[in-house]
Amino acid sequence: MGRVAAAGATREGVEGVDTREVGRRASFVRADGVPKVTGQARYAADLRLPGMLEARFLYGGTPHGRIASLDVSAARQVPGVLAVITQADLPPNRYGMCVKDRTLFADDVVRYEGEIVAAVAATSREAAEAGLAAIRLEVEPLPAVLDPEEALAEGAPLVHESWSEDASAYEGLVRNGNDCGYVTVVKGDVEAGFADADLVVEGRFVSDMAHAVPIEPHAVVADWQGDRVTIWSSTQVPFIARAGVAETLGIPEGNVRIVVPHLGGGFGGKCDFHFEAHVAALARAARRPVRLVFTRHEEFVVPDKVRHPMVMTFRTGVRRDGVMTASRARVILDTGAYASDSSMLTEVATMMVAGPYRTPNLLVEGHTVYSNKTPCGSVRAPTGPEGCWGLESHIDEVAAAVGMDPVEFRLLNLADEGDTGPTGQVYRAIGAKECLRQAADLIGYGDGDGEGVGVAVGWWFSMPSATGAHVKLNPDGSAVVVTGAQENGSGAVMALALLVGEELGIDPAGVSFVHQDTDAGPWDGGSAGSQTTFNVGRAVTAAASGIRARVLARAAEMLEASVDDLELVEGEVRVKGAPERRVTVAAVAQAAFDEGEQLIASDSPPVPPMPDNVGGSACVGRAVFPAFAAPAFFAQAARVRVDGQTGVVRVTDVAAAHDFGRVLNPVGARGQVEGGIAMGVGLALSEGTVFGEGDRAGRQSNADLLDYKLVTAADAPTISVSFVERPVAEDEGGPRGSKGVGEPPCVPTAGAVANAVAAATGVRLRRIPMTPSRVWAAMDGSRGEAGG
Amino acid sequence: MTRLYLEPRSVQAAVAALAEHGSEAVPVSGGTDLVVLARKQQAPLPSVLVALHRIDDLNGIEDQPDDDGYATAYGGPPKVGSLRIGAATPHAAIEHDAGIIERFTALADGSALVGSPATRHVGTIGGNLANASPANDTGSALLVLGGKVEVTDADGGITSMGLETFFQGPGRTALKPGDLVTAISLNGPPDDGRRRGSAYIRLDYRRSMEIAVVGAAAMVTLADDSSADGGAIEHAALALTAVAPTCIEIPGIAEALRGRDPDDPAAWDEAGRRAAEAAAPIGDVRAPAGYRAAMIPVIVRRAFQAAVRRARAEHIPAPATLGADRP
Repeated sequence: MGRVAAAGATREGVEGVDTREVGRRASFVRADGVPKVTGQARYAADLRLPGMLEARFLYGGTPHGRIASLDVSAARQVPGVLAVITQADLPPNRYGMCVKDRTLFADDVVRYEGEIVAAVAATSREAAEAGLAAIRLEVEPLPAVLDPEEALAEGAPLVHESWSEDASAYEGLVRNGNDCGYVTVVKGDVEAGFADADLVVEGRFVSDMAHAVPIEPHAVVADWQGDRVTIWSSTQVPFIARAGVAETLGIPEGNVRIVVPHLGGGFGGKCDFHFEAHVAALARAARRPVRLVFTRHEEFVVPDKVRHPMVMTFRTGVRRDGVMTASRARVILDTGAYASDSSMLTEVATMMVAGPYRTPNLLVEGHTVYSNKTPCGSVRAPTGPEGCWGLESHIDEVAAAVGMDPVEFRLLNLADEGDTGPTGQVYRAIGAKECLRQAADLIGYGDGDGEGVGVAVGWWFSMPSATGAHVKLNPDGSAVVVTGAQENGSGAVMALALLVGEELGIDPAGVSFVHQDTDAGPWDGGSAGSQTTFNVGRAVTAAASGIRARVLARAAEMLEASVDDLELVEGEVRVKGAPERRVTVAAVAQAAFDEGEQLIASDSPPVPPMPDNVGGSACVGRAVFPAFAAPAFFAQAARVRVDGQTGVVRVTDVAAAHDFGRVLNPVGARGQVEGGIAMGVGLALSEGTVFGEGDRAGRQSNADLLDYKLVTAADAPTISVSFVERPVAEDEGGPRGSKGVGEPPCVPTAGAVANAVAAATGVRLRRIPMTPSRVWAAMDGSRGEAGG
Repeated sequence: MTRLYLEPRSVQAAVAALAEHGSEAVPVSGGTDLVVLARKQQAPLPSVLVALHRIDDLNGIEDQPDDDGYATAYGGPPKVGSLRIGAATPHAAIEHDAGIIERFTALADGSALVGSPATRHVGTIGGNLANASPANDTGSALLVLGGKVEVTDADGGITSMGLETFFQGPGRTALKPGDLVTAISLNGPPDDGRRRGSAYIRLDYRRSMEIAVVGAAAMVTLADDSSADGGAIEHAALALTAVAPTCIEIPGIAEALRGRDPDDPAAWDEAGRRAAEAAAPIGDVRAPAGYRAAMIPVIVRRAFQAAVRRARAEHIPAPATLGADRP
């Protein structure tokens, strides 16, 4: 209760907010909560259709090789096996969000251990496994590319030997050799900036591959009726999955319906099109419904949405008074075997390593590099935690070089209203500095000498996108929202009930949803880019306001009052100042129905524009993120305790201050901050893929939940949260001046923890995760070998 | 493929089922190793499963008449408070048992560290031992406490053996086909008023759902029950987890530490040195070999320090590990 009250209290005094709304939002309980915690919720893997078969995939199993032979004839004879398919059974259609560089199944070449070579559908999982075992596959090894810097070197083996000219999925993609996305940020004159500097500080930082790890594995069920296929999938992006099925199978999009039952989390790992088409193709071949459920091992190795291993170098010029004059940075994203959505994420990475600073002269280069590893792509705030960690570690070193306190140094250099961003956007009112002040206050910064406290600041974008919604107000006063939006577990769709309830003057508990079904709702970008509330919130508000106007007009007749004198609250239309003159919303809706009018409305409001004055001519490769729309700013401070004998780090406290614009659902926003911090602590300390050596080079060694160490509830720090509300203009942001919330909270945590570890030990680690053996090795330079 | 699942109601029926199906049959209790390894495709699920959860005699902790026939960790009868733990007793029952917490605290530490609360409610001590992982969390505690594994064979014959005999290698035990682990016996300490304490400490990267990278169980008896701090070390024992093919007891510890001051860091350094000599740590995905080796003396010292504090009647709740990483 205390937490909720505190979160609500931050909204007091915000202009234009009805205090009754504040109370309702602060006590809002999402509709899917009880079914999920009581086990009533059904997920894709829970579905059972008559005659349903089980699918299993055969994988290449090696980082790089050419398929010498592939013979599935024996597998087709295995009892219980009803379908075996390979790329030979499918049209040669290529797909990929940034580069169309892959097919559903390996086409001649295996480019990572989890490359799908064949698929089997059988009457049981065991029969399917027996089918896989009967497939004869020979792969001739090819030289593997495993290091992103070596991949960029002259003469490195090519992961993709030849690219067809039409492989780029969008214009502006700059490519060369293994680089499938070269991007720059140029601001001012970086050489002149260095000439103005008194000191130049350099640093290099490396992050390991990390994973999304939703609790629910990928699961797909496909069922054909004639030429139409219905696919129940654990996707975060049903409409993008639908497009992928149509593209790869060569069928009309209209013949594909994607339905998502409850989704057991995604964190980006279920963005993009994944296995829907494989299962649909199996179901078509077998003439039966087919179900695929991944093992945890497959979850780690196969999907193409994994956090990029990143290599970052920084060179920063600073004056003795602490003002940064120039920054030159280079960031390499190892995208693994396929480009996935990485080429555009490199644009985000360059903004991350540029940071929310006012530095007048910048040159940032970003490379997107192929290697023979599991493909990487969007995972919650892709490149954010890693880029922020690298930059903020470096900034602490720059501050130290000029003898300044890290908080003071940042307050001196952080951007503020009127400053210019890395690509030329001019900031409106932003809370970057205020967030840092509040995070430092909340952690008690500077209260104790020599304690392990560190801070990090950062920024993240909102993602304007096409949106739409249908709303209907029923004669009983309840409402239904029909939307294409996807509930990933964050509660973003469930909380749309708050906006609809407020618009219609009804209890949000009376608002239900038909959602995540491509045949029902309008197109939606899915649970990606923190976009659900930002975009769909605008759509449901617009649609509901259309109904609101009709309710008020009808009520005005019923109450013999002017519309201007009415208010819509607590399920009633009332005459202001004369509360005895009232009619329930249900009665208005029933009266409309009795006269043959249904209170339904649809809307698809305009997409907020990107910031102007962006993308100077010197910026190369900025096709998708020329600037950051409605950017969120934030700061976190962490306190750690380091076991000097073992190198084990415990994060005891994290204070977070976030400018999300106007906060619409404080309970939900707070939940996102707490979850993001837990994820960030994992990235800082324990979550990283370990690759094998020798025969197992390029293959993941800890692809399971015992040895890929997520943070548990017992490891979670004490978290304090503050919202710094700097609402965005109505036409530039989400509903009521809000910004995206889902991704930013995990961005600064690893940087804050790293700076806290440095403060506690006097040692700077240059690689995450900061595992105990790495911390232990760093504390004594002679322990090199154990550093890993 | 067909699979046979049997639910015998008695030990006799269980060993008969195991004998009938030979090497095809494997007993299953909590299934936290068997099922997980099968899911990870590291070991196929056996074709005959003999479930133990409906055999009441296997589940529970009971007082046992003291039996001087067993060698003990403490030396010299008479003994009090001996216990018999049914093999299918879950860790959750062990970690909360008053007798175990009082007299066999290192075992409470070990059971309290297994997996999560959910794992501990289904995972059993018999399964933990029979799986014979080098990283199992109860083996070292039982080694220093002198625990014995009771094995029932196909003919109903009962034999008893120490863990040093029971553990044969990674995943290998002294069990013969048809044998079933039916209980763990723990002889109580002599009724001599001496102060005794034990602890099992594990190096934990995170505070739950962890597996041993290095673990150490220590047991100490202090010589002078009349002095405030218990006096010098009279007896000590040490065993290590996850640094050798099995849990191992470190030889020569009792002799090396007898008469030493328990507050003298050099005593624990000596124990750590002997432990490092006896261990053969490997490098793997969980830790480089050099780091594992370097952690042995650290964890050994912490285990002995916790055991001494407990001997001095200081309350350190199980698992002691969760407090041991606080400097």
